[in-house]
Amino acid sequence: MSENRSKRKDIIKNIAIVFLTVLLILTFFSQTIMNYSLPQVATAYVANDTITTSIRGTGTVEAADPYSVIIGDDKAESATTHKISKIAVQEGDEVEKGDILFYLDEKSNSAIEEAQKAYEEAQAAYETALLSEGVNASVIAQANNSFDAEQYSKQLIEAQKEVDARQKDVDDIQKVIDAFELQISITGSENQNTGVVNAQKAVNEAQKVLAEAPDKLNKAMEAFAAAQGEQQSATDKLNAANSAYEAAVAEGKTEEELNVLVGEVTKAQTELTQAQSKAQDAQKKAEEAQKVADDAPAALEKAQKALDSAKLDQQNSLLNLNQQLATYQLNKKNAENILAEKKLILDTLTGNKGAIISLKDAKEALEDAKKALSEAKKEQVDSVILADLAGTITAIRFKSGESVSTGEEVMVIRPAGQGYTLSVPVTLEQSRKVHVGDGASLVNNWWYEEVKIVLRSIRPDPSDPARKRLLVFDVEGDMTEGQNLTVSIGERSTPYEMVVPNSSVREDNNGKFILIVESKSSPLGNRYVATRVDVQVIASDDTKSAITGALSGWEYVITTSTHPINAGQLVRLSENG
Amino acid sequence: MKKETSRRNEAGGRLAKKMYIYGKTCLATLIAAGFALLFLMPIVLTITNSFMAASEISSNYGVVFATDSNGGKVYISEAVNLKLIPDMVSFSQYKTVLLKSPDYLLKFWNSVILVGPIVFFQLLVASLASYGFARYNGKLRQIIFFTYIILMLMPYQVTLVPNYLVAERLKILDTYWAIWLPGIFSPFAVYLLTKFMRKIPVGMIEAAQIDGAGELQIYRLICMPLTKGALCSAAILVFIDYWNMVEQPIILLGDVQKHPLSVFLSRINAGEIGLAFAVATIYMVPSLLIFLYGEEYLVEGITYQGGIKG
Repeated sequence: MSENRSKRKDIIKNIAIVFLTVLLILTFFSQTIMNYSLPQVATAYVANDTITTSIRGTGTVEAADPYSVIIGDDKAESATTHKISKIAVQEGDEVEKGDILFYLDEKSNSAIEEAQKAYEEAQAAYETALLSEGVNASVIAQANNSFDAEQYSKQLIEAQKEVDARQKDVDDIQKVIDAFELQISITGSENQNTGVVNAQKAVNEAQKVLAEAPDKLNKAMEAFAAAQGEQQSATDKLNAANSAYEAAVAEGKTEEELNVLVGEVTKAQTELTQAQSKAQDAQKKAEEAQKVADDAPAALEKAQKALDSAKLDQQNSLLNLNQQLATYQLNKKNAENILAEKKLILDTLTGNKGAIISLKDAKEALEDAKKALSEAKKEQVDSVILADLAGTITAIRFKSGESVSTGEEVMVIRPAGQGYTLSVPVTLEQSRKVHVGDGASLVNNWWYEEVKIVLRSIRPDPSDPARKRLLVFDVEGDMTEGQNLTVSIGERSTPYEMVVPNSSVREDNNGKFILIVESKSSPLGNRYVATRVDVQVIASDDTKSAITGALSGWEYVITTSTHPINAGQLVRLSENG
Repeated sequence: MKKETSRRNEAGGRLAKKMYIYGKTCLATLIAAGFALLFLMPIVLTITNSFMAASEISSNYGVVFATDSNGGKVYISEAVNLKLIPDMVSFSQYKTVLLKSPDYLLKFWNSVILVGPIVFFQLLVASLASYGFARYNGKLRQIIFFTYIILMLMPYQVTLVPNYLVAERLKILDTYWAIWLPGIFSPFAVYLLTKFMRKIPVGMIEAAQIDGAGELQIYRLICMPLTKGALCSAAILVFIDYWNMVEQPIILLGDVQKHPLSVFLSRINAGEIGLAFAVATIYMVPSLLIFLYGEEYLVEGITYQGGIKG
């Protein structure tokens, strides 16, 4: 067992030694082995240098100031078409001034006749409208002036509103007049005048009282006399009862008999009291009847006076009401007059509307026809088109039998004695580096000799006017129109602090950057890491670019590599450094 | 007849007893095997996945980690696949680790540089301290030993900040000394070795004293040979403990170049999962070898601690 154990231990010990030895060897040599798998890079210094900004571009040689042959006036408002019956020249022909270029179909001038006919018809329609019913000086004046239908419509609406308002005034006044008349009828009628009626009632009442007063007085006096008689009887009866009692007492009658006598005395007293009361009431009534009889004449006189006064008031009221009524009637008359005037205005406007519109339309139609006729006359073209200048036919856009519109280019003539031009598209920044008058040279020039190219103008590129420009060069020399030439212009050198080769500038979604090599020391030697530095390119030419960025200068920038590399990746310097 | 019957009965009883024992053993074995499988699964996964190509790794585990810097997906499947058997056995990860990435190998040696001195010097210091504890009696000894036990029971995180402050004051921060010194003077090995030292018969030591041996000679010639097993088990335990340390290097070593491989393994990110499997497999080898070498001493040391005499 112990032998096995020791054997096992030996084996494990050997394995451990081998393992550690292998790891040690690999550790020392891993850097070397790793380097073989790393991408090899070529580097260059970031250093001071100059950038020679030459601009290159390619363009097509064209004839300078070509002359376009067009039909008619291209500034005419409406284009007319004409048919080409025959083309008298070919491309490349040299023509002199006045030579026939092409023929147009004679039927092209029918437009003028049609316009003339339309004008005459419009003239007749206008005259008919002038002589139609309802047309007066006012209508003609309005039709001749600038007629505004909307304004006229507003006038009509305003006039109608005025009429309605005046009618309302008249109706309101009429209502007031009716009220006054009713009031007058009520006030004038004695049976309806409240004051008079009440006063008359009062008089009648007073008369009735006066008439009835004496009878009532007599009756009251008689009742009083009767009551007095009864009172007297009751007194006599009481006295008799008292005498009988006294006599009985004197006679010494029994108590029962005395009580009976006392009862009779009491009864007589009660009757006397009642009779007295009745007499008092009768007296009071008689006094009242007397008073009424005394006051009746004065009351009648007073009621009569009140009646007279009420009648007087009635008359005064009537007078006042009649005066007011007259005033309102006058107002009503005035309002009716105003209403009539407004109605007249409204009728006039309504009546004139149709006439004005008709006359206006006719006048406008006449003017349109006149305009069309003048334009047709302007667009009249000759049936034979001649050359306006001497030169060479460089392009013919149409063929015989095709239709061409006025203002459309039919053919192009290169004027005799003119040179060539070359238009080269460049960017806005590039265009700022050159100036008019700068000379340019041909690139890869093997065929042309003594070619002179001068920048004549810089203008916006129609394809992208905001960001591109066209450099237009004058080209002198033995050229052929339509050839493509590549020119180079601008040879200025500008010094910059940080210049790198173009191949070292890379770009991704985050912008332009360069990869520099940074050295890191490790226990096994130096290692080189590609580090990203974001930069901005401020100038460049064919081979170099001037950059700005977080660089101190003199860094090693990676220009090329054997494999694609990313920032942070280990790299190996090329054997040449 | 009676004898036969009784004999048959005895045999039947023994068989039943055997079956019972056998059944119990099988059940216990199955349960133990199940647990063993559970504990072995991560290690087996690590080893087998280290033989997968990078594309297979990213297709199986890519969804666990973040996507690339442009926000694009770097995984194919929508769920994590725990695969034990690679589709294609590939040594590309080992090739990258061993041949193309000296960083990992340097980190491995950083681990060796950190752990080697700790193990050696901790055993040296601990053996001397345990000899002192074993040989000398007194109340002070008990107090100091009790303090050692308290310190041993404290987790690393508790003493990490004081260690940092002391290291900064001693100006050894960001150097290996900041790791070595706390490791060398760790109390764990002291406790382990003290128990062994106390078991050495006093008579043996007295006999050596009578023969004229000094304390150093007694320590070197008598105690050390007798505690060889304890020393091995302590060495194994200390090695395993410090081989896997992560917090101390991160806190005390600022320079990433000095970090051990355990720190790299604790910071796996999306692009290095395959490498992490290969590195972990390589990293396991020293621990495994040391354990296999000193296994019997470790078992002996643990059983000795438990007081079970084998």
